[in-house]
Amino acid sequence: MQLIRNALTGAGKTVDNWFLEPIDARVYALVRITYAVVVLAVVIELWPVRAALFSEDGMSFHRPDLLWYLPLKYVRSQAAVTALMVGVGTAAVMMGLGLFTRFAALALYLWNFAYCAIGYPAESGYDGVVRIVGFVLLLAPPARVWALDGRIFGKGHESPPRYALRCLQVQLGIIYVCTVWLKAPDSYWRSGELMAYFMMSMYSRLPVAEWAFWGRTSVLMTWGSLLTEAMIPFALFSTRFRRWGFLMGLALHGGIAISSTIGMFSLAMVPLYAAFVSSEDVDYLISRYGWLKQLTPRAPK
Amino acid sequence: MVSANLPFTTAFGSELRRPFVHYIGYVGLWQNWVMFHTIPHFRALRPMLVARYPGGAQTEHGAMLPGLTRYKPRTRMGSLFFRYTWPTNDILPYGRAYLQRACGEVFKQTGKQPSTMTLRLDSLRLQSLADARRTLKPGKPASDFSTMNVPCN
Repeated sequence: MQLIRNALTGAGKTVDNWFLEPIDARVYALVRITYAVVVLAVVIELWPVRAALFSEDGMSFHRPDLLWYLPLKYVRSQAAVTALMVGVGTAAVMMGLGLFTRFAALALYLWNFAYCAIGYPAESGYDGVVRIVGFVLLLAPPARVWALDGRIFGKGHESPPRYALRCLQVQLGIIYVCTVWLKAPDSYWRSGELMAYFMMSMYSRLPVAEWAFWGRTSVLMTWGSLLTEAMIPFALFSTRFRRWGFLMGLALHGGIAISSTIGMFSLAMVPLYAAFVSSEDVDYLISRYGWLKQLTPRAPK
Repeated sequence: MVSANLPFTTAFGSELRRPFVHYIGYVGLWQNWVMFHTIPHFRALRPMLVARYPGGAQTEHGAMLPGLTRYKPRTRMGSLFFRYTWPTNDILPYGRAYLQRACGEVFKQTGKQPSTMTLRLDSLRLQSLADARRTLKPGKPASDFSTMNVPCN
């Protein structure tokens, strides 16, 4: 009996430590700032098609069962959609600056939820990433480092619990595991031809027929990206290979951003990677780039 | 997170997801990571609205609303037109609403009320690698009509 009790206590402590251990508040700040940049980028991307996607004159559908707390339920004219998007852009800037952060996080999360519900047929994978990060940040502990809120409301926790970062880390793992699970059985992924087709397609920045002749390049790129996607979450969760995880992520998503028209997905993944940054990484960056010292307080002991 | 990714296609059907469905719906945490799980099929797209009139006449219009303007390539809008051409059950109400609105827009611009409205996806469909090597062209012209054809009344 005592053995079971000890085992349960030990397991509880491990889970408690894994999920709630104190973490440098600057990591939360990093996630918050990168998230704000991503939301702003999505607003800019949506701006030219705002009337088409969100107004009642456009191409989508204001479902009658839309949840009452979603702003686009009540915003229907083209002018009102434009005004709302200006407001969302402002909220993204506030989020980046850490000004009334909780309010800004709520506004951005509801905006993303609403536009994905109204513009569901035009939803992209990165919209889901942004929505999930927004939801988690809404429930994250207040961390007022690198934030104007710190000047207004006081500093808050310097070492908040890391549960929200853990959620984002697990989410990153789920994304890669699911995508590898879905891709691996496909015959084009297995034959290594997928990248040749992808690079000739509408998603490529250089869609020329020559890709059909570069068979070995295609095989290396196809298998390389599948292998990288499979390895990234394990590397990031490991203490020893974490920086390799960052490098592989940079290679994969940097490659996608450079070679294809879906660079927004690469950008949207940045806050999830930021959740893996450690206090030592932030110190390293600050020591490397002197001008950051002016902006940042020291890491809490 | 995990429950949102459980597949519907196992012997469990939707049973495993059922306890979480309301939670996922009310907080907007649906997620789907089907991203390039197989090859893309198109080199270029040009969606067109096709209005048909009593007597068999038909007219073509730009697919973008409002204004029936021409489609300009955008990844997000390309996805929308794929989904409106081959709609799944969850997309059908959106697609029908789009085509209904297109009926009104065509009437507003031309003064003629079409009897039905549909979407045609003109495209360059990717060729097989062997054909691309032989012709030195990545795609060949194709045309697909949407499975939705909506009455305008």
